[in-house]
Amino acid sequence: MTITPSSLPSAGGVAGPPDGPGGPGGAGISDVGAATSSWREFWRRYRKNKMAVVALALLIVLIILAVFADQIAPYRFDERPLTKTTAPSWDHLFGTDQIGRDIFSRVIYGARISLRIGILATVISVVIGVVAGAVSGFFGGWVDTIISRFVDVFLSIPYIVLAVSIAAVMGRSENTVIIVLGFTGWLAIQRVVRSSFLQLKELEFVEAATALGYGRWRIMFRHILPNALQPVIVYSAIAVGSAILAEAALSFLGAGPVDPTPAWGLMVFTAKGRLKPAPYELFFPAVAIVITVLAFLLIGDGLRDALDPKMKNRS
Amino acid sequence: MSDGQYNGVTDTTDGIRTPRSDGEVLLSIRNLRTRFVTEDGDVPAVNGVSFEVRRGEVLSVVGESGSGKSVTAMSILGLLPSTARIEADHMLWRGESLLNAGENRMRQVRGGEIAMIFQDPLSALNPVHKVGRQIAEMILIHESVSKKEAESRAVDMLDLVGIPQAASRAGMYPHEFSGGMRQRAMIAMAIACSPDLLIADEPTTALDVTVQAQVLEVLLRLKDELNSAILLITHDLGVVAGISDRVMVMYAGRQAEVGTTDQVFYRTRHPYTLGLMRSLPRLDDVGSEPLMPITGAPPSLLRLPSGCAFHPRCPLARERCSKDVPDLNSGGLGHHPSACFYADEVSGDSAGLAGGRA
Repeated sequence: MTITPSSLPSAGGVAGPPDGPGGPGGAGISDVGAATSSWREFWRRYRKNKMAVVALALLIVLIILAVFADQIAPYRFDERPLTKTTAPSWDHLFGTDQIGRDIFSRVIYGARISLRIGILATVISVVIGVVAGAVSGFFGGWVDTIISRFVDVFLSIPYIVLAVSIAAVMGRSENTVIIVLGFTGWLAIQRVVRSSFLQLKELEFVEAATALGYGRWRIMFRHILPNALQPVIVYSAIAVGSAILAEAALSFLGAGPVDPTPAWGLMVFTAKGRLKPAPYELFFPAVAIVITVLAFLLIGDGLRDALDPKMKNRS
Repeated sequence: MSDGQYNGVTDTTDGIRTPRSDGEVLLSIRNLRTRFVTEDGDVPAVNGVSFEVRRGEVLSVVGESGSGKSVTAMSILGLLPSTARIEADHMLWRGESLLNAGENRMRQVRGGEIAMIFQDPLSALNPVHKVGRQIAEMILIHESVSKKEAESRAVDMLDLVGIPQAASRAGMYPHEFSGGMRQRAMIAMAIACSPDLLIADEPTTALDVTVQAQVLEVLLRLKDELNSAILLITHDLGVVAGISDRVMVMYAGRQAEVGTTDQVFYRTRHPYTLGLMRSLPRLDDVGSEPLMPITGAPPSLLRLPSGCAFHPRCPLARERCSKDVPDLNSGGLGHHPSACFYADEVSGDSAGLAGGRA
């Protein structure tokens, strides 16, 4: 973490040590006097990671595609301009699938589904994981024991098995995937947040906050949590990527959304039997998955560099 | 100040009396015993400590690490971990018992009526919040004022503790402050709700020597402005000499000697106090006398020596010291209280240090 006391600057000195790691997004600001924007500082450091910048641009493109799919895609995802599969051409950039749907359009609509699943599943995981981790790390004792053992038990069940069983009960749909991924993804976050809290609650500013009469919940969520968020933010970016990948895996296993939903994983699944006659049916959605997941992983990398200067130049 | 003020004080509250007998008694503690329950047995961190703090005075608590001075302060505010057991004949805050106060009442007391300043201001300030916001939050918790008002008062507070350009500083993060400024910010936070008692736990230890004096000066000035009192916990006798009215010396969880600053420094009546002072360099006779460290190490609280806990390290120790436990009356009447059977043999003026008094 970043709470190491830095060496004392000389008396009356004003600037914080430029090398002194500070809070997330607020470290190393060396200009004094003017209100310094921690966002600008954050961006300055994020920008240094070129791959992360490219990934961010890619993500913006993906978001635009997802939001404006209706306007951008030449066809609707369930529209059948042809009746059979055709190779890529100027009319159908990525070709058409077995029943003649435009793959280019379906990949664009797929961005909507993948992003929705990835982001919503991650939001659910983060909310549950942060609260559970904060409570168990802060209070400790039997509360911690119960929550942590619960997490251990669920971590030891392969999430695919869990997902397939839940899908069997709830029926196959996008929302099932979101719920499955959301309720399995928080386990890891609970552990991350819990360990941060265990560390942070021993620090003096927590004791000071108690000594100044702050309530427990205020200390937990307003004082400790912001200090513990940094790994969570980095993890979340990566988690969105993993959730998209997991969605593809679930679709591929037949536990995800059903046709005609243009989920990328589902498209790969339907295309897998006909790799030889129509490789483009599998290729384009697969590439879309790879690019999207990679973008989120790289963004996670960039966030880590930007939020934690100490980690830079490692890895 | 003369020790005549102590003449005639004969009851067991010896040494609890303050020279400023006019001030309202803010805090009154009688026979405080704090122990920690551990697997190796109970650790008596504070063992029978009694004192009073009156409005307007600075009471210093001095002792080595592990002497129980910080635990005493933490006991008052109920800030100890759950393994601690706090007992006392009484612990009164302006007449109200803190021992059985509920958590809600304690939250009002903490920060609102008794505020604490910590040793390391960088780690005591939250790194992710702006300094001004932290002070404003403190005000918002204890008083019903608008957010805007709290923020402008936060700036006033920074101004009060002598931070230049307080308005723009309020928008900065703790790591952008220098060490001395952080401690001032911490003080600003502590006094934001005009507490009656300020507990300062080694407030200058983490600071540059040049900044120490400034911070102490700020503390003293604020004490007068707020008409409050300061309980100063320190191992730095130089600091003690500079600002305190009274001194309480602690050793192994007990009080060794209590008196006005002049009494303790010039008419020392406990060999431990003497040892503490001899082990400090004196400005007025450079080189003529070698420093004399106290031999041995502080005892383990789990296995305290029998009798007087200091006897294995004490140059005056004799048979009785290993048998009977001295209390503050043991030094005899007619002087300021000392927990030493042979207080009369402790050779008086030991304090070239006090020559440096402000």
